Order: sequence, then C-alpha cells, then structure tokens
Amino acid sequence: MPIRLPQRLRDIRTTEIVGRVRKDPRTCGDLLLGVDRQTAMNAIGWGQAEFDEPVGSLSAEDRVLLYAYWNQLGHLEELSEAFNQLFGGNSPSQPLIVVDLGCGPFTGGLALIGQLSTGELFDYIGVDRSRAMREFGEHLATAVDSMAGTPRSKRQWVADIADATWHAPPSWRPVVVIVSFLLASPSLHVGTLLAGLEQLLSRLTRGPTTILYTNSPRVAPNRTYPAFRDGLLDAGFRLTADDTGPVHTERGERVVRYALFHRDSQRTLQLGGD
Amino acid sequence: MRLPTYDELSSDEEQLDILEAPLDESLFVVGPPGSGKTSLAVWRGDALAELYGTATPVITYNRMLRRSLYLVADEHDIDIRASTMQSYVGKDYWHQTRTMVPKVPPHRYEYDWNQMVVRLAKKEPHAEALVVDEGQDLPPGFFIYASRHIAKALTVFADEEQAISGKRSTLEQIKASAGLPHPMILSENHRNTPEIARVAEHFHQGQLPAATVVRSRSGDRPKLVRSGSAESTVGRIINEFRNRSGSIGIVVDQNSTGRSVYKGLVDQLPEHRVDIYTSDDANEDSIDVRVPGVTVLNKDSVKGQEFDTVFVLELERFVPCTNDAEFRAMYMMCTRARDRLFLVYGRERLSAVAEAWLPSGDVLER
Repeated sequence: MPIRLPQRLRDIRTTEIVGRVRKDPRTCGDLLLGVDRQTAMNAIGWGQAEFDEPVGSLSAEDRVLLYAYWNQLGHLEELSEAFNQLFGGNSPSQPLIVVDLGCGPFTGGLALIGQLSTGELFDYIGVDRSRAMREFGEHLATAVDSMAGTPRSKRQWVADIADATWHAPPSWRPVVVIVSFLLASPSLHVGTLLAGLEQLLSRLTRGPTTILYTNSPRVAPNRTYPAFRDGLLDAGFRLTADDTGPVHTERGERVVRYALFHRDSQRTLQLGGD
Repeated sequence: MRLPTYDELSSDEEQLDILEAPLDESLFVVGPPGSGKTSLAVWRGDALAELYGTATPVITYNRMLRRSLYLVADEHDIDIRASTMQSYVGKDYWHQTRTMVPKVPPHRYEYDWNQMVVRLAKKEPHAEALVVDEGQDLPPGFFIYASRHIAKALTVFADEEQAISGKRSTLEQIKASAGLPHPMILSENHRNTPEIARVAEHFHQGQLPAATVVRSRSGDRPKLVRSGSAESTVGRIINEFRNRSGSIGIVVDQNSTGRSVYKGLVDQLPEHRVDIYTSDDANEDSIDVRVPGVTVLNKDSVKGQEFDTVFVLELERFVPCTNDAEFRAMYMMCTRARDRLFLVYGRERLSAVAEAWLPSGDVLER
C-alpha cells in the first residue's frame, strides 16, 4: 500500500508551505517567489546549501520555503513510511526523545507526529546549522500544535549537537535519532558527528536507542556511510536493516538508501575495578 | 523499504536474563523497588536447589524480610532456607569453629568480621551457592566472609537507593568484597502507579536513572494529609480500609506512635486482621501482609514489604531530608505503596521549609 500522509500533515503543508508560496506577490504562474524551478533548485542546492545567506532576489527565508515546497514532501514520505513500519500504531511504552540531526524544517518531527497516537508527548531536539531552517521548523511545529488531537512535542533547536541542553538526569526513555540525508553533506565529519551524538546520548538516557539512516540511493552521497556504520557498530549498536529499496507513495515510487541501528538499554552497571 | 517493528527491536526481557544466568557462577543484580528482586532471589534459590539437590540458603537483612522471602517461596511452593544474615552467620560460624561469633565491643550484635576471617583463614567455602537479598544493608565484612568461607558462588540482589542500615555496603564495596562481576540492571518498576512513583522520584538519588514505571496511570494522586490526633489518624485509616479493603501498611518513626495507632485500630476493627511488628516482639511469623488488613511497622521493618495502600505517619519527623540516609528512607517508604499513598503529619503544622521542600501540588495533592 502506498504511504499516504495523514490529513493533518497535508493540511499543514497546504496552508503553511504551498499556500504561502502561491499567495506570495512575487509568485506568478511557474515562477515561484519570482524564480523558475531551475533557479530555485540552484538556490536550495538540492538541500545541501548554506541556507542562511540570500541568493539573488531570494532571502534565507525564501530559500527555506522553496526547499520545503520542492524537497520536503519526499523526505516526509520516506520518514513517514519508516516510522509507520517501526511503530505501526504501537508506540514505545515511554515518551520518546527524538534527536533529528540535520533536521531541516521539522521534517522528522512532522513524520513522527503523523504516525504516533493522539495525545502522545515526545521531546524533540532539532539540530541544523541553518538559523532559517530552525526558525521555519519551529513555525511548522507551532502550526501543528494549534491543531486539535495531534501528538505534542517539547522542542529545542540548536545549530550544533553540542549545544543541546538537557537538565533532567538520564532516564530509561527510548531515543530515536534521525539521520536523513545528512551524510550527503560534503562538509560533514563522521567521527565528530558520532562523538557528539554519543556525548548527547549519555546525557539523555540509559534506555534503548534507535538510529534511522536515510539517504539518496546514489553512491556519492553515501560515501561516508561505511565509517558511520562501523562507528555505530563499535559503539555497541547492531544493524537491523541495511538496504536500498522503494518507498511507494501516492505520487509514485521513490528509491531510498536506508539503514536502522539499535542499541538495547544498558544491562550492566559498570562499577570501579575490573 | 523494509524495517523491523519497534517491538521486534526492543526485546527488553530483563528478568529473563537474570533467570537464565549461569547457576555455577556468581551473579550481582541491582534494581529499583518493584523490580522483582525478592521473587528473582527465590526463583534463583529454587533453580540452585534443583541443581545441587539441597535447599538453598537465602540471606536477608531483617526478620520481616525473612518472612517476606518465606511468603514468596510458600506462594510458589518453593523450598528455600530463608534466614537473616545475623542468624545464618551465627550458626555457620559455630558450625565451622564450635565457638561463638566474636563481637566488636561494646556492641552486642556487631560481628568482628576481621577476627572471623582470620580464624577461618584455611577454610574453603563449604556450600555451592548462597543467595543474598537486600545486600545493600549488610556490611562489607559479611560479603568477604560469605565469599571466602560459606559459598563458592554468591548471588546478590541490592538497591543502594533503599539502604537504611548504618552498616550498609555500597555497590562498589559489595562487588569488591565478594569478588562479584559488574551488576546486571533491572530497570522496571512493576509495583507503583506512575503517580506514586513520581512522589518517590522526588527523593531518588543515585547512579542509575529512576525506574521505568510499567503500570498505567490510576488517576489517584498521593495525598499530603494533616491529622491532629491519633484518633483522627485511626479514623482515616479505618475509612480507607472500609471503603477499599485490601492490605494497608502504616509506617511510623516511633514505635510508641505505632502502638497507639495499633490499639485504636484493634478496638475498631475487631473482625479484621490488624498486626503490629517490632523487632522486640519478634512476631513476624504470625503476620501475613498479603491477607487483607492493616499492618503497623516502623521504617526499618517496612523495608521490602508492599501494600495496596500505605500511610506514612509522623511525616514531620522524616522531612525535610537533610542527608542521603533520610532521602533513601523516604524513597523506600513511598515505594511500598501499590495503589494509594498518604503522607500524614501530626499535631504540629509542617514547617514552611518542609512544606516547600515536598513535591509540588500537581504531584502530591494538598
């Protein structure tokens, strides 16, 4: 069955992304925010651009909105399919903590909200180096909050994983880490990413951690995946899925590179001595 | 895309891991209140008995805990030899040396572990296995003695957060003294409602996160109650019992308060079980806390017990907590309650400091 986004996500997309683009005074026919598609794609760099600078007539906010218009839907569908398969209407017994690395405009959070039960609460740490992305993510999240009967998220947005604040002591709560298309970024250093992630996880939980990796099926964007995978295996994660395959959507089929890693709750308490 | 479900990923059957641990090796387990430590101690004792063909000694801290071990074993028709540490070691030392246990003067009950270990220096362990419950309240000397001179393999269950004894051992001391592996962790609380667990967590400290509460919300928030006299306290307890029946535990700081409440309860509930335990009375074998009724205990003897409803009386004597031992005592007392918890203070109003120091009104109803 093709994945179908829940109505509340479609409504958000219609009002906050498509509607805003279409109603913008610069939009005319195929010129969205006053630029043609090729110009728009160049401006958003296929999702890997530095979004906080203006490009031509487009402000940072315009570029993020165009990214959401052209690119976010596909990622939303992929992650919705992944969360649908993972949770399938049967959420973990404790509230999730979600760490979305390279979060863009709340894409992972929206996908999760679409698959969790009404009224569930989760903590969300969105990490993205772009201020404009983080701000638009919060805008979308606030719009979701205003809809009755949706799961609620308690959010924080940071530019760097090391900036995340967490004052509660570590708990046994399950953590889900989303690494969606992040490794396609040519400037990313996998060792630094994994060290920062492990440091954050140690502050959040002693409970189970699941890492969802998605990416383009092309070879180049996945060139650092082996180092990423091996680093996680060394850190005690096990690889439970690792493949390239289709996600069936109402708009057709998208092929995605994906992997799922899982580490169980801490089972022994390491005391001093041997 | 094909991913496993989350349920398939997280097979956190922690109790099974412990039940399936090798029987001929030492085992160290830490777990919060309600994680099933006492039941696991009894089941481990049963498995060891089957392996070695003799009832397994299971050691614990005090006589009410010994009684609890007996009741759990009896419920499952399991044959274990439940003893307090004091009693078991006294007999064991006599059996091995034909002399009484040396004491540290001027204490009547404090064993001189150094002298005992020196005396038995050439003696090997005589038993295959020994199981210890509530190990955090036993002294490091016991673990040295037990591992060198009682059993080849020790199984120790402990929760440092519930230690109340002045002669307690830290987890590091237990591990080092008994030569145990790093402890396995139990992380789930199957006893308390989430509402009760939240109050208890207010007093939680320690190396591990507060437990994951498995039960669903009950909608019944624990209550802070003022009771101006012993009569009104008794009246409240009787109301609770008549409305809900079940098992009720009354926890006091002073045995004199316990006796006063006990007398009022006996007079007004003549047709129901009402018990009081103090170590001086040594009447634990006549008490079955599982039978509907009321049991009055002090903070030492309530350790390891559980009730449908718990009234912690004399709250003004327990809070505000000013040291680790007082935090641990409050944590332990609150976690005795399965469904309902009342924190009761007496004639004197709680000080502003104590009031402000307790959990907020959304956690502890005023």
